[in-house]
Amino acid sequence: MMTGCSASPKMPSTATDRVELDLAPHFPDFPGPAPTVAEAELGRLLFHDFRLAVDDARSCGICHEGKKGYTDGFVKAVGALGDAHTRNTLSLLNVAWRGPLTWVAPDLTDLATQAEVPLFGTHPVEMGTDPDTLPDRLADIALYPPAFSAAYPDDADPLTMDRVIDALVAYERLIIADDTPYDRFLQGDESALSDNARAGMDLFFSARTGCGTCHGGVFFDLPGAVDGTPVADTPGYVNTGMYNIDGAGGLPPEETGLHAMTGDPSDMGRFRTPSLRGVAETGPWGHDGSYGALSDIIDDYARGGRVLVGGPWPGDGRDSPVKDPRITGFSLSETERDQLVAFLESLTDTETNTRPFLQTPFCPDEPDTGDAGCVPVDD
Amino acid sequence: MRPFILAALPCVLFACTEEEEKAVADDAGTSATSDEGTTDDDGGEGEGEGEGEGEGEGEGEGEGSADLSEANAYSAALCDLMETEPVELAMGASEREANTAVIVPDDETTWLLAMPETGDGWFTVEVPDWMTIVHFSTDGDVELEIQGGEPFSETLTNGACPDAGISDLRWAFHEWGAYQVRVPEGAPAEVWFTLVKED
Repeated sequence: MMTGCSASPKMPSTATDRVELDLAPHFPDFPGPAPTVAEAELGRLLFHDFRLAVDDARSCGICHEGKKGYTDGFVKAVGALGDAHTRNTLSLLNVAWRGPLTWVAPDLTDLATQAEVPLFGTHPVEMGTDPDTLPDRLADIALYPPAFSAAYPDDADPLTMDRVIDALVAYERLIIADDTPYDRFLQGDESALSDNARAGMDLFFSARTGCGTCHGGVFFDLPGAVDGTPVADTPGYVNTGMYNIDGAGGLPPEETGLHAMTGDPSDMGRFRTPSLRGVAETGPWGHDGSYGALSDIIDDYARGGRVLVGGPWPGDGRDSPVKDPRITGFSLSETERDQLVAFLESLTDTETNTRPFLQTPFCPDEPDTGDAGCVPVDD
Repeated sequence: MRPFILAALPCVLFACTEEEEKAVADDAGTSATSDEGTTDDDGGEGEGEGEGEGEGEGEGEGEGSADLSEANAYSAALCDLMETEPVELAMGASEREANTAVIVPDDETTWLLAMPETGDGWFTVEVPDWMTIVHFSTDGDVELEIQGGEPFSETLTNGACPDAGISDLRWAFHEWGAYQVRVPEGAPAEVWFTLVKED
C-alpha cells in the first residue's frame, strides 16, 4: 500500500521524499500532502516514546495500540497519574479523514489541536507532558536532534513543541486501514467475505436494520441512505438510547454528550457516530465503554434501546424521549445477529498493525530479544 | 511495549526454578501460590480460582495469615482504609452491565458495592499497569470471581486487623486493561470493597 517508508528507524537519505500512498480505489483522496519520510519516521519515534509522558511510562502508542485497533482496551481511559477519564478512547484508524475527532466536539477537527489534549491536558491528566521542558529534554537524547533536522530541514531550530506535534500528526495520518475483507469484496473479490459476513452485509444495508442510515460512507460514520450512500459530509451526533436514568432521557452526569457543549436539552446523550472500520478490535464500545460485546450493541439496537436493570444508572433507554427517531427496534434472529457481527469483523484490516513503518522503533526492555535494528532507549 | 517489571517476579507470571519459586513464596509470606497460579493469562481461564479454596486457610489462625501480616506492608494500609467513608456503587445485574460500574485501583478509596436484587453482581476493574499485583480486599465471606489475570495468593484473612474479618486476595495481571468481576448471588446486600495496586 505504501512505498518509500523504511522499516528502519534510521533516517533515510531521501528524507524529504513524500510517502507514496496507494489507497483502495473507493477511498477518498488522502487529505492534503502526504508527510515526508523523515516526518513520518520522526513521528514514529515520538509516538512510541515513553519519555513524552510525565511518568516516563506512557506513550501515544500505548493508549492507541495497533493490536487493539489503535485504542487502549479500557472501558474508560486511565491517565498517567491514575486519573479516571469519562470516555472511551477512540481509534486512530483512518484518522486523516476523520473530521470531528472526539465524541462531543464538532468543531475539533484539527489533529494538531487535538494532540494537545492528551499531551498537556490536566482535567484529567492523560500524559502529563510539560510543553516547556519537553523540547529541551528531547534535545538531550541523541537520536532526536538529527531526526528533527531531517524532518524539518528549513527550520533554523526545528526542535520545538510545534514540530513535535507536527511529526506526531504526520505519523498518525499514516494509520490507514483500507484493505479489509470488505474492501477486497468491493474490488471484486467475491471470496473475500464469508457467507455469514455477506449475509450480515445485506442485513446491515437493509431497511429492516437501518444500520447504514447512521453508519454510511467509506468509513461507516456518515448519515446515509439505507444502502449506506452518504447523505451528508459530516458525521451525525446520535442518542442511541443507551441511558434513561430519570425518565427524561438523562445520562450519567459525568458525560452527557453534545449537551455538555451546547446546553441544549435536546442534545442530551448525542455522541458522534464512530467509524466502524476496525470495530471488532476496538472494544469495549460506546462513548463510555459500557458495552463489552458487539452482539450486545446489536441486541440493543434491535430492542430499540438499552435496558439497564442494575448498575449505578439503571433505566429503560427504549423510552428515552431524546432518543434518535431512527432507533426504533427491529426483529432479528440470533443467526442474523451473528451474521451482523461477522460483517463487522470483516471491517478489520489485519495488515495495518503489521506494517513496519507503524511499529515501535524502540527495543524491548528484555535483553536478547533478537530484534536487530531497533533503537535502544537512550537514558 | 515497555512492561513494568516488578522487583520480585512472581512465579505465577514467569517460569522459575524450584529454588526461585520458594524464594518468591517466602517473600510473599505465603506458600500456596504455585498450586493455584498455573492458568494461562488470557481472560477467563483464571476465573474463580482465587476463591473458595483459600477461604478456610485464611481464617486468621493459620500460619499463612500471620506471615502475611508481617511480610505484606499493604495489610495495615488496607486496614486503615476501613476508617474511610466508602463510596456507594451499585453493581451491574449481568455481565453485559459490568462496564457500567467501573473501579480503578487507588490507595485511598473504599467502596460499598450494592448487590442487585436480581442475582449476581458485576463490576469492572481497570488495571492501569502491566505486570501488576492488585489487592482485592472485601468482607471476609464474600466470593469474587475475577475474569482474567490469575491468583497471586490464596484468599487470606487480613492479619493486620483480624477482628475486622476482611479478606485480602492478591491477583496478578500481566497486561493493563479492563477485567470483569462477578460477585455471586448470596453475598450481603452491601459489600465493603477496596482495590489497591502494589507499587
